[in-house]
Amino acid sequence: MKTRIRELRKERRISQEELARALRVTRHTITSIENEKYTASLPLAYKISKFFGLPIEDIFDFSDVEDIDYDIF
Amino acid sequence: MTSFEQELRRRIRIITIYAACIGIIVIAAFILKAFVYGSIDTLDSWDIGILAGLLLGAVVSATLRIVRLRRALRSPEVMEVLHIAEKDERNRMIALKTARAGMTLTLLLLSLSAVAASFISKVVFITIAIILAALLALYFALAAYYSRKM
Repeated sequence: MKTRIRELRKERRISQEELARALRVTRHTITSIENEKYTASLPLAYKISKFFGLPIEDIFDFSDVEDIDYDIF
Repeated sequence: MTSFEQELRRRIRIITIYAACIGIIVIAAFILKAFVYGSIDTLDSWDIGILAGLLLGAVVSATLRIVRLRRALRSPEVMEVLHIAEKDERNRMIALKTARAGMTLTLLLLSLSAVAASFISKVVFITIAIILAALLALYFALAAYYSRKM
């Protein structure tokens, strides 16, 4: 899923490590979300939107929501 | 004391009990084998190797895990990193996918081995078939449990 996390993070001069610490996730999770390899859960998306002070739909692009890979393998 | 700290202390206790149980089982197996064979001198190197390997493996892995957990208990920073790594949703998803793929591949490989063994040895075939049936029963029981739980 496309997101604006990298863009917002750079605008506010926040490192992946700092964002990860604030959200209580690993830095790898932030990297994977930014690189569209992992889709954040609803609670994490909520925490991200709260952190940046923006609505979820302004950070996450839900236009390709049907293509999200939920396969277990 | 935080709940995670309590959880780490509980894990240390469980690991210690687990290692002690393995030790008791191995020593009991040693005594039982020596009793069955008449003397400890009659145990062959295969028996001794397997039992000593089991004991050593259990003790070493338990010690390493306890050292890691104790280090976390001593330092709040290390505990925080461990806590985040354990609760991280991506790590949990990776663990879930790994377990799922591992189970599927195990079942597939065991099925293929059972077919191959059926041409070679009836005993091996039956052994693999029993393991396969037990794994499948466990798999379906867990699937039913989690379907009801969620």
